[in-house]
Amino acid sequence: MVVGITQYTNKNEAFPLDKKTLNQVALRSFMVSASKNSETGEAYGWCHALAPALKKIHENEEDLALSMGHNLEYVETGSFFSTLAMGVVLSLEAQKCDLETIRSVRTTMNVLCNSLSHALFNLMILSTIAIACIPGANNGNVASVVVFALAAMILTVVLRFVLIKVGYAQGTKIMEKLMKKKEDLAQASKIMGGFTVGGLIVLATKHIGTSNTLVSAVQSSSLSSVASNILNAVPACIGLVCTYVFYYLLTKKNYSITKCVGIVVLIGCIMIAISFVLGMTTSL
Amino acid sequence: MSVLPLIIVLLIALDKYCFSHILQRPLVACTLLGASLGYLKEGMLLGGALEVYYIAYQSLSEYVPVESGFLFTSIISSFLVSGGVDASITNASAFLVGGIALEYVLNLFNTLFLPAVRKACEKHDDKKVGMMQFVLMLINVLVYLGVAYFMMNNASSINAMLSTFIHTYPFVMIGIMTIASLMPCIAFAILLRNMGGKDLTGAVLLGVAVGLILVSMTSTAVSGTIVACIAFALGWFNFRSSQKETITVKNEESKPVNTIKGGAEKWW
Repeated sequence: MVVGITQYTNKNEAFPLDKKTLNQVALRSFMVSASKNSETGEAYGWCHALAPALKKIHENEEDLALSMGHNLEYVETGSFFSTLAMGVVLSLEAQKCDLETIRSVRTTMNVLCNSLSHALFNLMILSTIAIACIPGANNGNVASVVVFALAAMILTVVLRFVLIKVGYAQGTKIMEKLMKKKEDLAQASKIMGGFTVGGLIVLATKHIGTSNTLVSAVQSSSLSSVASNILNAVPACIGLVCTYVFYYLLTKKNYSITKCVGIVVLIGCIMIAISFVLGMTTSL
Repeated sequence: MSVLPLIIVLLIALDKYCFSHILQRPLVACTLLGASLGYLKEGMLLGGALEVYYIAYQSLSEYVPVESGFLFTSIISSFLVSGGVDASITNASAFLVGGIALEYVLNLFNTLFLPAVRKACEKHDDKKVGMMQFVLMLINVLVYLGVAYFMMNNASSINAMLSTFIHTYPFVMIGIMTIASLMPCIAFAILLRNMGGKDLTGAVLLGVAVGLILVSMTSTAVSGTIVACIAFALGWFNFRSSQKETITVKNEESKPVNTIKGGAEKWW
């Protein structure tokens, strides 16, 4: 799909989205992680959830295709705060911002929402409720399990419908002010996006360390703490190098995405062979 | 053979893919499955024990699909609960690795549909995107149902086979994990290309450096939040400073030209 650096043809600000459309998006957002894939994360679900709103925002068919296409890029929002990111992205779409700006804000919002979802919900709120309910469950009290499940479910549903409105309203409010300085905004958001992608590379490739036999082998050997700290950076470096190699192949050598996927599968096969020869095990 | 446990697994899997992600928590999943199998109390005990593991493993969930691993573990362990809660928990780590591997394989399978979804987007056909999403969800749910069905019939032999496979052939798991972990790099490369990555190398490297420092200090979830906040701050700082530059340039332009006493402009 040719999304690249093409911009929207119709740059006129769209009519504000109505509550019904936002609710429809929130409803579809439940299925965001239904078809998670290795390459673009939850992009299918994200694109499908935003589609009704995007159809209202972009009357021009080419713009709509472009918008749906770029929303199929890497997205991973987690299960609780996804609609907040959706609301903000929709506000940017309605303002017809530059695609670089939308990409950058979307990527940063994704990291923020995913991390908040884990830190606030999975690690704090749900874990606290679960810990409170476990003793009851151990005593054979079914009510404690029901309370846990219901509390978590109600929280999830309410959050989704509330956050999309908050994200859309606040995003529109901020963007209306900032859109007057479009060029500066585009440059600033590009830097923001680049920084976030750097952070994402570290976060997403951290588990190479648990599978990469060579790294595990070196890490398990007796090394000084400084050396082992440096070695902790190896997975991120592998991720960084891989990202730039694929970037080079995609931009300079015109490789298709399928070819890049093939290369990754080949690397995986080589890893299997190396692990087999060295007799390594996973650290999980 | 009762169909109730299969219906419960179907409900749990559907909740995982298109609702609240709560029924897949071990505490709920094991209780429901235990009740459907006629071992409510054992199911709850098992669920409580696995839930503690689940909470402990949460710090890994940013970069390993722990949730799916535990769903798989909950399903298999619940079917083994008739042999005692302790026996079910003993092999939980092997099931966890198996569940994570299964999730990676499903994710890799889902990636195969990406070109078709891209084409559907080109034709702005959201119904087709939705249909493909539904089909993929159905396949994933059916996989979990299949696991449950086989467990119902051959619980002990599958238990032995899975444990043997994971301990004897760990390199297969290593290969799957490597592929799954390098796959997002392609997506990052596409993102960078579409953002105009040429000028962004500095920002990307800064992000990597900050990410590395944060990840070594705190959990991945907290690191992600801080990275996103720094990114916003960085963007805002850049925006403000370029605004200031514009204002300064404008002020300099509007400054009166240096004149000599008589009011004439300096000729030099």
